[in-house]
Amino acid sequence: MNFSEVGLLALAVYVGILLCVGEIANRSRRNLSPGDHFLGGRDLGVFVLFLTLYATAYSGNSLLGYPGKAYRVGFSFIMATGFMMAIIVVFHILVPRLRPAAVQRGYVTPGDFVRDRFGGQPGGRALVLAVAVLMALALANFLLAQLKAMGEVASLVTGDLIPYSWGVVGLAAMILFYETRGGMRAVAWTDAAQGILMAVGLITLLGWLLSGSGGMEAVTLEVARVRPEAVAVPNAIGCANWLSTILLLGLASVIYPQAIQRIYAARTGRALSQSFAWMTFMPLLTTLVVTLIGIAAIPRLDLAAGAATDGVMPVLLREWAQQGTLGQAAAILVFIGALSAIMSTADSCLLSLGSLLVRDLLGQTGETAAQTRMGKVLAAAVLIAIIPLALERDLTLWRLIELKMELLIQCVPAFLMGIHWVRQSAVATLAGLLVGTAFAVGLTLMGTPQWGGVHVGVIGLGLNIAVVVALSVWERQGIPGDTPLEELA
Amino acid sequence: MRAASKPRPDLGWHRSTTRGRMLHISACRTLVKTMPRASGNGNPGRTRRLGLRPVLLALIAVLYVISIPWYRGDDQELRLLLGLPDWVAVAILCYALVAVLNSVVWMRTPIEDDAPLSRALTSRALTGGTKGMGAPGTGRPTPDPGDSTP
Repeated sequence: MNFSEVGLLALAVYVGILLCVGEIANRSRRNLSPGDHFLGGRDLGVFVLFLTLYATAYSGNSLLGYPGKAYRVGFSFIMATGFMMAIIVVFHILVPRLRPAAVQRGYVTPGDFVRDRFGGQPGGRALVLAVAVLMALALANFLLAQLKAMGEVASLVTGDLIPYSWGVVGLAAMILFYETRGGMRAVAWTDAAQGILMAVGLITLLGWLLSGSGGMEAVTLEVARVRPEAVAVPNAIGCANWLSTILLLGLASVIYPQAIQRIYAARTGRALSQSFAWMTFMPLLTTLVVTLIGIAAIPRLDLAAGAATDGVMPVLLREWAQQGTLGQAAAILVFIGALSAIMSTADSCLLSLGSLLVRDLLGQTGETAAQTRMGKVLAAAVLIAIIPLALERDLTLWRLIELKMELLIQCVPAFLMGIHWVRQSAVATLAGLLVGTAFAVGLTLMGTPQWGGVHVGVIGLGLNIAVVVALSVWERQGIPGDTPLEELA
Repeated sequence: MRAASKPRPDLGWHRSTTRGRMLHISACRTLVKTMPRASGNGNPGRTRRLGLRPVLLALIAVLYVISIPWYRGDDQELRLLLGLPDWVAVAILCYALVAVLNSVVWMRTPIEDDAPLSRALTSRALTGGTKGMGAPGTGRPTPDPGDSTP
């Protein structure tokens, strides 16, 4: 059997396993409530929780976008390890207060917190809607990136026996099936297996690359010879961009709806803190590894700029597969690991999107089976609507990530400030969100995604926070006996 | 002595006809609730641990600043450390330290599901109440009046 046929067989086995897991998860459900379907009955233990957090956080962007970006910019993309770790640091601001509230108040979606915190105030309903719209757009964007990556990997692993478009449509249908049947349980269980596959595959690939290149020092010297700018120290604008990227991704990723829902889905608060204690090491085992893979590819490959650089990882794997039977088997393992990472993120996005549309956008906050069904139908509709966009192959995955983050980061004051600052009002939060979003999206559309290396989303967040603070303080000044700066809860 | 003058909680003591007083299970629950909590503010060990938490988080922030090569001129020649450009090796070492410290902080962060909620959520005068969310302590959402489904 050649590489393409082995790849096709491996893909078929993998998809078969996913479908079985979906069915087993379906039989394990306790009832048809949104809490059971979207949060797995709030019963995820440390092991599954850790692996589902891991597999969800590391996606097609991590496996294809990051090596591509590292290949384009060189060693300065080591910042990626920092921003992935920053997510687990920033969770300290949110999780210890959000988790008890989620358990005691029965939250299912991120919007449930916003409704609980701001819903009864003037402007509260509009704020819930605005946050939901931004989150839905970001999730749809994220889902689009995963579908594109799924099509690419399916086409590559099977040597185009499954074309890109069939890969997108077929794998999307698989996800829809097991996610609809098994809900969060199916997603978390498949994520656990996918996380293990991904980590093993990546570390094996890096080992092969370094051993074949004479070690890290030889790789660095070769990169310096072939492309000196790839080893150059970033200038002041590059350093500002480094910090800005850490802030952008560290803050915005905490607001991922699928990440917040895993905070709700944990069996206990202790399981959650233990999972995060493990998760904090994963950027060293994943992001750092994919960054070094992208850098090690600089002297080996000559890819055109733009979307083609997202193909760094697949091209390396094809090269590896030509080294013999062992290389072929290992390359297939990494390919399936990459596909796992992508599908695990896509299924989490889809699950979150369904719950978010029903509860936060349509305002159906009960615990009935009808709402679960509606969530499934809406998620399917969104998935079908996104597929035609995914068939366009021109946009790079990295740009898709950045666009999504510019939107998500504007929700930060509603969550990270709102859970601590008693006096923050709904109107002020809504005004800040609108100002920040208009600024970030406006400048991005005008072709200015950064100022002096700082992302417009981060500058927009600064404006957003200034508006929230100024308006909240100003509003409270009119209330007799209210001290405006009696701040933190 | 002063504590004795305070009203006592109903400990649920029952008078048995044959064996005198016995402790009802609800009494145990009430008693546990009135005792200083093992992981609460009354535990000096926990106070020490929480005191260390901000220090470790501040240290993490410092490591993040150091990880960015502000300190290097962009015209300097390539210097290797651990097989990598020196500024890259410094960044990776910083991130490795951040991982260790952050892991320690998470292990020292007790997240209790029944902990008192943030004032931002309980201060109804400010939040204006809630709709569709569960009553505290139930873990279940209350029915939404606007929800017509059974």
